[in-house]
Amino acid sequence: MSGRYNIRETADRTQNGRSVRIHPDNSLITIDPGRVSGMLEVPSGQIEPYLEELIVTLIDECLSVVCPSACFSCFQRPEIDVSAGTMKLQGYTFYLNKMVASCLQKSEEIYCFIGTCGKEMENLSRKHLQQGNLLEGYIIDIIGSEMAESVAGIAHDTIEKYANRSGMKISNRYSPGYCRWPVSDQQKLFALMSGNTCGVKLTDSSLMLPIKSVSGIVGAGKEMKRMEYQCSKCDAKYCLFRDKYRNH
Amino acid sequence: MEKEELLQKILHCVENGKVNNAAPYPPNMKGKDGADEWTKKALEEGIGPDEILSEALIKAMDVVGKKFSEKKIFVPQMLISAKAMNAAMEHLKPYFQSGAVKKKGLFIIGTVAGDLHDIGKNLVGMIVEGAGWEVLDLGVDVNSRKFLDAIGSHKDAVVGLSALLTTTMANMKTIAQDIKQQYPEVPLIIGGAPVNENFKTEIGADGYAPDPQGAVSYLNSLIA
Ligand code: B12
Repeated sequence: MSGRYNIRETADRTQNGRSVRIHPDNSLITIDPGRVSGMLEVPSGQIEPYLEELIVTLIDECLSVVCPSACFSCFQRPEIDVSAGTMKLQGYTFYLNKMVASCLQKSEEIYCFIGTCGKEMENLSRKHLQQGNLLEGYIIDIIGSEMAESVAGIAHDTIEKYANRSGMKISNRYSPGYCRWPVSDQQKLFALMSGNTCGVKLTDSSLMLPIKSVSGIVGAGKEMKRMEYQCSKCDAKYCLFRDKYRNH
Repeated sequence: MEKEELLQKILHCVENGKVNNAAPYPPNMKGKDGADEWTKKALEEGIGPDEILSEALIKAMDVVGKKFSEKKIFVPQMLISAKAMNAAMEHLKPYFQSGAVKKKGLFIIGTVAGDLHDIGKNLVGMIVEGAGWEVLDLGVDVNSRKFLDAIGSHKDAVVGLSALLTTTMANMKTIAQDIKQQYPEVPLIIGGAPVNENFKTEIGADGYAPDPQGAVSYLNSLIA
C-alpha cells in the first residue's frame, strides 16, 4: 500500500470481515479553496484577494492541527432487494432506498467505513470564534466539513485498492442520510463495525461525534463500477454531491 | 471633532468592516483607526452610548444587511462588519451591564435534537448579534427540555430553531409544539435547508427565513 498511508490491519473481529484503520498523512488531504469560497456563497468572479489569501492561510492552519483517521470493515454476501430498497447484511436489514439499492445490486461484498477529522477542527474553529474572529471561525468550520469529505475519499480510494487485490471493482460511496436512506440506519452500521470506529461515537439520535465525520458503504464485485454521481436520478435537492454544489 | 462626524466615522468603519487600527482589512483603510478606536473616542467626547448604538452601530448593520440582500456584499463582508460591530460593543458593555443601554432583545437559537449541522445556525447567530440583539446559542442536538428551560429563564426571548436533516424536521415539529404549548406568546422562527414557509405553518411556528438577513428582518419587525 502507498507509502504515505499508515495502515493498520486489526484482528478479524467480525465473522466474515477484516477491519482496517488508516491514518493518512495530512498532505493527502486535499481542500479546494474555490469550493470553500463557494460554500461562503461568494460568486466566483467576486472574491476579494484578501479573502482568497485568508482561505489559503486557514487551510494551512487546519492541516497543521488536524489528525484524520478512517476505518473500514468488509462483509461478504449482502442480500440486496432492489424492489424493496433493502440490503441484508450479517443479520441487519438496511433500508437503503431503491436508488441506492439498485446501484449496489451487483455487490459481492460490502465495505462499511467511517472517516473523521477528529476533534481538532471543532476546537480550532471554536478558538477563533471565542477570540471574536467570526470570519476565520466560520471558514475553518467549512474547511472542516470539506476535510471530512476528503477523509471519506481517502477511505474510498483505499477500499478500492483492497478490492482490486481480490480482483474486484467498487461502487460509489453512499451514506446513511443521503438519497433518502434514513440516518437512523447508522446504528446498524456502527453495530456491524463492532468497535472499529476510529473513536467516532454515535449519539442516541444517530449522529456522529466528533461532528466532522462521515460514514457510509461501498459495494465491491466483479461487475461494479465507480461512476460520476448521477444527480438526475436522485431527488435529494440539497445533496453534497449534487452538481450545483460541486465545482463552484 | 463634531458629534455627527464621530458617529459617521464609526458607521463607516462598521459598514466597511474596519475593526481597529491594526486590522489589515479593508486594504484601503490600512493604518487608519477603526470602530474600536472611534467608539472609545466618541465616549470620551461625551456622546451617549445609546446614541452610538442607534445612530452608528445599528444603522451601519442595517446598511450592511441591505447591501447583502441586494447581493452587493456577501457572507464574509457581513462577518467582518459584525466583528467591527462587536469591537465597538466592547466599549458599550459597561453601559449594557448597568442597564443604561439596552439591546433589542434576546434571541435563543439552537440546532434541534438529532441534528449536528450547525454551520448555518452559527452564521444566523453571528449576524443577528451583529444586528444589535443578544444571542443565546444552545448549541446542537437541543431537545425540548433545553429550549423550555432557556425560555423559562428568559420569557421575553424570541426563539430560533435550525434543522438540516429531513429526519430532524420531525423533531423540530415536536419542539415547536412543546414550546407553543407552554409559551404560546413566545415568537418562534425556523430555518435550515429542508424547511420552508409551508412547514412553518404546518408546525405552528411564527416565522421562517431562508437566510440570516431574513432572520434579522423578522426579529426587527417584532419590535418595530
Ligand atoms: C457541511 C455539511 C456537513 C458537515 C457538517 C458540518 C457542520 N458542523 O455542520 C459534515 C461533512 C461533517 C456532514 C456530515 C453529515 N451529513 Co451533512 N451536509 C453538509 C452540507 C453539505 C452543507 C450544510 C451547510 O453547512 N450549509 C451551509 C449553511 C450556511 O447553510 P444552511 O445550513 O442551510 O443554513 C442557512 C439557511 O438554511 C438558514 N438557516 C439555517 N438555520 C437557521 C435557523 C433559523 C432560525 C433561520 C431563520 C435560518 C436558518 O440560514 C443559513 C445561512 O444562510 C449539507 C448539504 C447542503 N447543501 O445543505 C449536507 C447534509 C445536510 N448532510 C447530510 C447528511 C445525511 C450527513 C450525515 C448524516 C452523512 C453521514 N452518514 O455521514 C453526516 C452526519 C455528521 C455527523 N456528525 O453525524 C444530508 C441530510 C439529508 C437530509 N435532508 O436528511 C445533507 C442534506 C446532504 C445530502 N444531500 O444528503 N455534513
